[in-house]
Amino acid sequence: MVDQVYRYLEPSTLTADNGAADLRLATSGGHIGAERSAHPHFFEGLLAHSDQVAAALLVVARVARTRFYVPPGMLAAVLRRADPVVTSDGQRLRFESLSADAGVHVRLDLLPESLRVPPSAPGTTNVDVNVPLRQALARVGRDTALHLAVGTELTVRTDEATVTEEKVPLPDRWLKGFAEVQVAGAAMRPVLRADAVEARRFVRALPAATGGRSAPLWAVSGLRGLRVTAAPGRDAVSIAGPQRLRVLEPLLRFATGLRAYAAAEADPGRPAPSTWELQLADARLVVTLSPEVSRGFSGEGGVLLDLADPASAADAELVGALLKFEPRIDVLRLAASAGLPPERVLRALTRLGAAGRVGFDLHDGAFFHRELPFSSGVLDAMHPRLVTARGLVADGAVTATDHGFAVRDGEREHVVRAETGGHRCTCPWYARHRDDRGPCAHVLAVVMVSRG
Amino acid sequence: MAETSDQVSERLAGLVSAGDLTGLVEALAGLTERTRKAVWPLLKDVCPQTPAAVLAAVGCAPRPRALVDATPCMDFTQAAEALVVQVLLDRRPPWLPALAKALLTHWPAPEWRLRVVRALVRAGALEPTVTDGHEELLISAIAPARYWAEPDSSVLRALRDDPELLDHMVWTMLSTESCGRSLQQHDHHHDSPPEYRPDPSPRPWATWRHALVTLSAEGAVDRDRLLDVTLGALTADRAAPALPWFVSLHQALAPTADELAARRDVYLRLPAADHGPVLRLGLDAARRLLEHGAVGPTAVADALVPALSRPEKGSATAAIALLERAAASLPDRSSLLLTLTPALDHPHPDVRERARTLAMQWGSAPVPERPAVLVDEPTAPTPTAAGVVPVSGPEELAELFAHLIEEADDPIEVERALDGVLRLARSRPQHGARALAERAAYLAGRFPGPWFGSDVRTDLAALTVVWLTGEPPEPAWPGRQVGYVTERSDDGSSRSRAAIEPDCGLFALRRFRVHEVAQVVAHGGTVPLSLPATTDGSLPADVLLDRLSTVSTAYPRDLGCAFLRVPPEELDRLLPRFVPGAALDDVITLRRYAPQWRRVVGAPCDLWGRPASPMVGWADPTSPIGTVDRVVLGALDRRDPLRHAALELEDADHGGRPEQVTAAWTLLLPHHPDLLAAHAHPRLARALTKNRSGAGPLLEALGRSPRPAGPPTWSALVLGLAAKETAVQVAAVDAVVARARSGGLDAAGLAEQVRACLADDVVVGTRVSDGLAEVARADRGSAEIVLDVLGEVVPAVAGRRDGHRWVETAAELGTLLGRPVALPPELRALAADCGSSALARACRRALSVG
Repeated sequence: MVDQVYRYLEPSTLTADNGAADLRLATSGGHIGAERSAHPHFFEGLLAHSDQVAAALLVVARVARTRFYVPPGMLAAVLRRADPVVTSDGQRLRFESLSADAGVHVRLDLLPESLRVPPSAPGTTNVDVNVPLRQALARVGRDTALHLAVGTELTVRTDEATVTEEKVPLPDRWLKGFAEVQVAGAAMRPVLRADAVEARRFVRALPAATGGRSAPLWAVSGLRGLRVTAAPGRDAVSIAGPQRLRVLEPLLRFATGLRAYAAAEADPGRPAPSTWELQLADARLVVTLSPEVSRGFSGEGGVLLDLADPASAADAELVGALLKFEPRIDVLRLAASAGLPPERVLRALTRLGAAGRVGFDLHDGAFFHRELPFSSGVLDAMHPRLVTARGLVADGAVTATDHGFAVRDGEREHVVRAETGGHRCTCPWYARHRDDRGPCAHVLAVVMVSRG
Repeated sequence: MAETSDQVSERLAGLVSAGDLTGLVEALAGLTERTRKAVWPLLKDVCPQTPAAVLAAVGCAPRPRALVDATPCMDFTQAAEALVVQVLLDRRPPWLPALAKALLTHWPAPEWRLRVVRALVRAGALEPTVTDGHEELLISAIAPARYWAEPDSSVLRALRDDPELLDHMVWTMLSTESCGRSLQQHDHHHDSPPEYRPDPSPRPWATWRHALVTLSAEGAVDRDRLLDVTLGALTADRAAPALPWFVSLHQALAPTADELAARRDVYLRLPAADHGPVLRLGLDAARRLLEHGAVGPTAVADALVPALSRPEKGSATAAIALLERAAASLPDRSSLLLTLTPALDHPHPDVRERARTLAMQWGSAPVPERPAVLVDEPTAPTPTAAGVVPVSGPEELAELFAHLIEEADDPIEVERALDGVLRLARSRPQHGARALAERAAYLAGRFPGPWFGSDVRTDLAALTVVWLTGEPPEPAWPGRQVGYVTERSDDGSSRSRAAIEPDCGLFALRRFRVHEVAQVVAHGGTVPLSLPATTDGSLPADVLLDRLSTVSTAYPRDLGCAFLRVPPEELDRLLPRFVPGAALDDVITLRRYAPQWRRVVGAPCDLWGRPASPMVGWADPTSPIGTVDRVVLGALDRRDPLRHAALELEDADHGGRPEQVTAAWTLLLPHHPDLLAAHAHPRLARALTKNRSGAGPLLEALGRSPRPAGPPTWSALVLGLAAKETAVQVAAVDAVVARARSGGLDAAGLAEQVRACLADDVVVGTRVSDGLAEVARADRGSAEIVLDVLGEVVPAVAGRRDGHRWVETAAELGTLLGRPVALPPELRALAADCGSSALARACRRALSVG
């Protein structure tokens, strides 16, 4: 658990007067360009499609305060208020949030056409979305001229007495999920699309609740549009917990289309993450669902082998230093700048994604730079399996045997065997998840020892 | 002479025992803190569940936490509460603020605690801010809705008794998101009291709603502020359950036209709400604002756009009606055509039709129906079953068990494990055996334990322990509990014990089989016979004969499973292999198996003899008498399908993964879809109203079976389409689609079961019609078959409330496929009668096709 301190100079506000609304989002922590800033300020200007933007911001805020899955035995889910994160790349604004159970990630991309003026600087920060602000956002109409300010210029800074400070305990797994959801997106391809009418019908026909431990479901293309099935074919998109996709509902009236993305090499029939992009006027709302309702993004572990590789750490450090809040990271150009082959740059970007330093825009098919505004150092040390594996290696717990490797973990000794298609371990974690969620700590330790 | 602490404690204990509350208050009043501390150890264990004991604890507990721990989760009379307050005021311990915090934060927090804290605030012993952050407790604390509360208590009276609450606490409460749900529950309890209350008559005068409306009428509550707070709650993007109470408060406040006009901007945002009642409130307010000239028609039209795109017919229709009214005052209505656009693509044809008519009245060119997108997708080839490879050695078997005891998600893997452990009973893995045995022993201890049949993983964990330790398994649970019997002993006392009957359904057969495997493994193993050769569960006769040639002792359940897996047309080849006996009888019985299915509907009794809801079952009076030892006879026995059906409904309640249990059934009956469907009916009956039925794998198996099917299968598919559980409903749609694609669907047979289920009122008709509509979305072939089914069902829907849904779906499919829809004479007459009912309109649309 990490205490994330949100320190706002004043609460975010929306004031409306005579057909105009002034939305001032208070900021806490983050960056302006490469510089850390306590209260970044990087946008001030009018927005197009004011009612759409207001409704979309409410969806982002709603996901942040929703727990779609309550584990059995949990009497009352403590609703932790993790504020949305906003990123400016100098051309567009992206608002992101992750649900309390780390299973639903949402990102609102306000494209350059929806901003009357471009952001004044690139940067990332947390923004306060409080109850009165939500109330005011719900009243923004189509004809309202919506002015947005992300942050406040220091010259008009308010009295110190209005500073609000809130310490919010954020579980490691939630922070990890926020970072790793980007890595999941990087492996996806577009699979399904629907026009506005079909998008409205499909989303509204999804069940409001499935109850209990729901079986994995998929969306497929049918005779008259999309339908849900339990027997997926080749071009199917996993839609575990379909009720979670209904977060799109308030925006359906603005939708111009819907696209669904699935992992390019997903094993048909196995639960997999999926991304749903609702196309709006000069904007996109992107919802990524975890493979199962009871399984947040935090447990994916898909990047652990890369993280365990010291060579990729050096590459990531080099590549990270070259990033400048690009809206689309050009891998070839970056490879040329770094003097690395493109595939190593891609691995480095994946590693940076797991650390919350880049995101992935599926529509553009490219990484973009953003630094998650969470406590520094947290994201580096939040992979418990990796930490355990490093501990095992440091303790000399890995020994080579005739049959592979013996790894002593406390009282137990587990056997790791290298076989075609990967490593196998005798530990209960591997027995339960096999290769679905990345390697176990023992396999990681063996890989580290093997690589020297 | 002063009393010693022993004497004081003895006197107080006496008062506690006598329940003398007034005496206790007097006795406690003069005590010093030192004496209270001294007597506490002697008092703290005296009758902790009485008001007198609580009073003693309040008077003597040395710390806030000790006091809170000593006060149980119970409520007192108002008089007793007053005495608690008096004792605390007499005592005035220095930690009174800390006590207030402890009282309010301790969980569970009985309602009296907030009332006591408020009484102390009123007496000046505590600051009013002590209750900040605990406003939600106020909802049920000041006028409890529970049946033992004071009969004449009401929120109104409580607020009048403590008017300071209206200064701050009530307003904060109304602004707290989670309070909306609690307020709704509280007021609902008074509006519709449960029957167990001593006086179950409604008490609307006791509600929060009544209190706030009354006090605002009296001027004690600022009406404008109350209206603003109410509208604020309705527009604050709150969760749906937090909203109905504010809607009801708004209705009770009945704002005037001037009040509406003063807040017109807010009211005009309400039609954009996701929550239906809020949206309707917004539509009503917009109508009134329009009528009173407080807003112009264009502003109303703009506000209606979100409501016109709502999927519910009622909301969209109401919005169109209001739009029509707004347009009436405009000379040029063409400017409103854009507003109508969402309704032209509305999912409901009535809405589309009305929007098209209106658009043409306003000067638009005729708007055609949105052309249907018809995509002829190549039919995917039917997947062929893959071969099943036996486990190669103990290492692989250990790895397989390590996974299956955690998640037995693949029934073929379970079969491989059972096969492997019988063959490798005397072998052990070289590595990890101890860790696996420990883990398996731990998991085998999970509730309800192995051999009850409700959790495959637990049974496999117990089997793993048997394999790795050589210890024989515990006996299996002998049968099924069907009720209780009362026994009288010689001394006249009586006691109840469980009544157990033999059970030979698939639920029991599966666990008996795994138990048999465990017993054989404990005795050294054998050559297994029943491992399916392919993933569809099939076992060719030649493969079984090969295995039989190498086995000295065939174990009965293993052999029975093998017989059921042999294709019926190959059973003849097995006959020469057996001498007269049980095995030969089983083969002959299977070979002659020709069920005479009869549909039965009844209300079987549950464990306590109470009749369940009516259920459908499939009886085969010609089936053999089942026994627990003979898998074949047990599986075939369907003489009395409703006998244990109500109990089978509850099988899925115990254990963690009901779908893993039923997945094993599909491999037991790979060639008898109707028999599998008959066994599936109790699970499907559960899926009609509950989750966790485990019916999904059964429907998937019925869908992919290449064998011809009959009425039990069609009945199972209909129940599946009507399931409440999403996964089951989707599996049923998939199964119908799969059968339609493979040519194995009898539309007339399916329609007959739809009609029967509708007639017996065992399904929700709209779920079945929606399910069939979903089937028709899959491909052209499925759509054609669904239209065939609807053609047979529609004659039976006249007079049903959901009749229009069936006709509507038929009309849409008829339009899509270019096929006319035949209607029976009474529906034709209804269509010709120019009636405006939904059914009449749907019939007219159906007749216009082709």
